[in-house]
Amino acid sequence: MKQEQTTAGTPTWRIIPLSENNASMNMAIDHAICDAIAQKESHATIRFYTWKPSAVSIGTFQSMHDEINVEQCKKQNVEWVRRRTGGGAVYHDNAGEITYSVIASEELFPKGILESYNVICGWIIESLKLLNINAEFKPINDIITNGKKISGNAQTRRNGVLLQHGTILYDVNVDKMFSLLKVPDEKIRDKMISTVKERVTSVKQSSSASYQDTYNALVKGFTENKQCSFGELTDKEKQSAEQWAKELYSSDEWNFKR
Amino acid sequence: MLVITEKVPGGKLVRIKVSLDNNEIKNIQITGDFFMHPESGVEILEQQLQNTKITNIKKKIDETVAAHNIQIIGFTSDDIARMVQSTEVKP
Repeated sequence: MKQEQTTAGTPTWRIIPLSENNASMNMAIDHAICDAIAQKESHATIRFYTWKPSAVSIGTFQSMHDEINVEQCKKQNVEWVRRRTGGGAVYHDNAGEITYSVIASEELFPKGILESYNVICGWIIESLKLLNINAEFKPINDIITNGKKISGNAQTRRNGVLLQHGTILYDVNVDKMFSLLKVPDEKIRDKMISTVKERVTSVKQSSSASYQDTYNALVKGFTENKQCSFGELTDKEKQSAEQWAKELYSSDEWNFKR
Repeated sequence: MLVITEKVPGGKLVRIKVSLDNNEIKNIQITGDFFMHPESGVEILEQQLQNTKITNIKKKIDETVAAHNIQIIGFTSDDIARMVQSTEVKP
């Protein structure tokens, strides 16, 4: 990784290393960084994070009660949150996945949504290659290896800022995941679980890489050929994130709005 | 209220909750794991579809999408029209 050096036209990326937060704070941090970049107060940012406690996030157009068994979440100490991005419900196991966010001016990416997914998903594919996992982008928003999903991604663009976040599965527990998710038809729950087991994989199932290896590979894959420097949230971003977490992402009004 | 769920071929899962009166939409909610840019487009669409005859859904969606520069990934106006029209009460 190159040292910070601002050259006109070449963005310097801020890399925020792996941090652990609760669900509302994770979504609030993305939101706060988007705001700061829209106001041209922060550099383009890549952050890595995990969820403590484990949590489910749902797509912005999904219905919480249709997708998530909230009572089961409470019993299992799993949080729930509505994202700002579309896409589907994701179970973020505390030790079973790594989430990333890429937040930058839209101008740094292709105008087309799918083309820009392809660019950022390309960084994940590069990272997986370092772990000897051959993966490919499967439009609309998945990354697959040997035909099985290993990463899901979602993007939004607002105020000239692109936010893409996604999960890279390290170790997947489909039974636990399904205990938290609703299924359209209870009669076929078992069949759905076995189908998902056939269609979803993880770094652990696909390689001998450890969790730390996986994170290191992601940092390398995401930062290669970019000017980057490790950094942290600014004080203003921290304050703004606290506020978004409190006022939006932990509110029933937002989380159950559909 | 009627609920119609469909995994759109080549697209995403769409669940429509709709109240109809005399084959006219009174209220509609479109949920699912699709993408829409900007995201506020979904509320605009739902609002614009109120009081729309179910035979007129595709046209209404196409007009709204064009007027508000909405991009939908995961379903089309044809899909919504087909799903709601599948509930049509024939005299």
